[in-house]
Amino acid sequence: MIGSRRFTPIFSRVVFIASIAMLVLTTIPAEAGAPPFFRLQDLEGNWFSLSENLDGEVVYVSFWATWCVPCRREMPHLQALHEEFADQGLTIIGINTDPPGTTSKIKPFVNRYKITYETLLDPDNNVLDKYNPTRELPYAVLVDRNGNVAEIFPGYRKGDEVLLREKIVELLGETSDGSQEAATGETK
Amino acid sequence: MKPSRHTLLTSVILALAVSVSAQESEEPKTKNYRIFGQLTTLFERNQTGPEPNQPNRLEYSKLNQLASFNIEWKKISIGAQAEYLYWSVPEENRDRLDFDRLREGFELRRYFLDYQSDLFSGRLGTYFASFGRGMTLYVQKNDALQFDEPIHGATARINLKHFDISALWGNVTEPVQQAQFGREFSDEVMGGRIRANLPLDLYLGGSAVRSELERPFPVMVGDRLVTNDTVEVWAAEAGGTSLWGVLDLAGEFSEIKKTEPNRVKEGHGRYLSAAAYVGPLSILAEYKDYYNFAYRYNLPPNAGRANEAYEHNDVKGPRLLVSADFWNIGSLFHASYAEFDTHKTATSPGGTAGDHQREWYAGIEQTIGRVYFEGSFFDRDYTDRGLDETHVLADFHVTVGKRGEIILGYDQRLEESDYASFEVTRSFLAYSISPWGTVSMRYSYEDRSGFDKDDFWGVEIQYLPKPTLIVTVFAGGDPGGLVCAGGQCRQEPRFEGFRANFTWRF
Repeated sequence: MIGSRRFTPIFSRVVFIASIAMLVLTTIPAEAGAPPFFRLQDLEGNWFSLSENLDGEVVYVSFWATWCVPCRREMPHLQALHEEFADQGLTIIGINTDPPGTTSKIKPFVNRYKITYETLLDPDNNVLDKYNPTRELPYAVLVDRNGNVAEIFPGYRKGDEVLLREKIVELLGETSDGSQEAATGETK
Repeated sequence: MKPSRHTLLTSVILALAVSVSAQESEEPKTKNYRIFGQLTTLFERNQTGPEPNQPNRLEYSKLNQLASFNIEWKKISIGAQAEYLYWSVPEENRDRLDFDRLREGFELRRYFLDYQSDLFSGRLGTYFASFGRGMTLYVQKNDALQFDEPIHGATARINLKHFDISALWGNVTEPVQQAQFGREFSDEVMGGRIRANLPLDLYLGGSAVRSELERPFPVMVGDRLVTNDTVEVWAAEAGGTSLWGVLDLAGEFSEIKKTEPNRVKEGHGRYLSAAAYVGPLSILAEYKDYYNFAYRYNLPPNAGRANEAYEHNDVKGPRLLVSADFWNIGSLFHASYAEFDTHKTATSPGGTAGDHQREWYAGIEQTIGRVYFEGSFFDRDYTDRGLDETHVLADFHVTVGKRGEIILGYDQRLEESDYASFEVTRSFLAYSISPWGTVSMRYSYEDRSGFDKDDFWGVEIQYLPKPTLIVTVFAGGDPGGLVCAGGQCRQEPRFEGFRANFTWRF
């Protein structure tokens, strides 16, 4: 087939160039920068800006949708982490990405799962598109007390909550100057 | 087959890249800016349909590379996404069901300069937008369906103490229209919205949009060639949140005017919803009345199931949705009942004999120890047409150890009428281990009225050497068909072949 003969060398070259680019980029040490910046409304219509609400807290920002099964699997674990660590400096923020026409369903949904951590709305998906241009949901970012992105969590698999809890305990134990404090949470 | 020099070098480089990035990174340093992005490579080989060289045979290779790059500095963001798309077959042989096939070569998919503060937000370049609940404007990304066409233009928003005022302008091309006619459409949208926040958690607002929509086929009106239709739509909205602590109310009233070369069509959209929270119960009631209301850039409100297709152009009727956690034993229930009619009747111009719909669905989620089950049943009966649609979804999960899980999934969609039936069943058995990935076996079955039956088998492996790297490989088949997410739907093409995806975030 003419198309296949034309395609193979081009594909080979493109992958080759992309691989070199990836190798170069992956050898660069990860340097954390400023925290994610976004401004969104909550379920009551109040505006919320992440950078103005950090206050030396460890922050977990998770994008989700009502139709996403792994998101629904993750939410009870996030609620448990919120209940356990909120008073030690953990803030959990769920950003719903459902379309604006289904807004009426989101609050009953949040109520059904007894979610008490902050829920924000990204109905136009401009924030999701910037941080996660491909399709995985849930997609989450963990920010340390200095406002640096400490870890990202693409998707959810059973057991991810164990790793997340370990990471949160570690970050909560760090003071803003980077030294370690005794974390009260014990890894289950 | 002897591997080429490039293939060998590429394999070595990819292996190095994965091993290097799997190593622990250095301690982070604090900076007041952040650079981040993503590189994604997708390769796909699809060989589906009858035997080679037969009509309707679909055979192609596709390479898609997406690079996203962003800089955030204080309240300013700058970003760009570039895409390279290559097809191995000429355009005239491509299946129009796949939206990607309308694009080829290099394209700058996103570019923006964004500023956000408490008082003012503005963006130049590409963006997604909606007004209110989507009655007057809805241009949104839907990743699950690959709807990915932003507005190219500018938008601004001012937040005063009691007022939000926003305005936008830009050009956009709508994905479904592209797929239908096999070319891109250059449409223009402009509009604004104002919302006033009143005492007692009440709000009042409105929006208006004017769109110039490129016609699929230009027409001569007198001696003038008309290439565009004009749509003007406005809406007034009001409501309140957490009224008396237990009640959310929302209402929106809209009028639309569609001006075509030889006629003007007028329509309306009316929507009311009330949600109440009583103990373990959440109750949502909605009423919608849409007549001649759909246009390329709106998606009016609908509290139906996200996995189903819904009519928005001509429909009216109520819905009740109840959900509850009754006994606090890990059981979550939800159930919905709705009845819809159309405005058009047998005596309407171009009307139908009526199209009454009766829809209900119910579901449960249950956690018992290491077992999690989620199941739901959906039924929609078009009584005038004699058509019945059902959709069964079930997921059964068993936790294995601390970080493992076995998942059995089932998804059956069935349409039955007096004359024909159509069934698509998908099932999978998967094992996932956190944080490394998932291995799944898939089996799908398609049956058209008992005459045309097809089986599809597939294996998918997803591997995450670290959270910033994802490698996914799929080999096998999928029947395609109707796929819905977030209230939008698309027809996916049948697939039989091999697909590999590599994503790296930085």
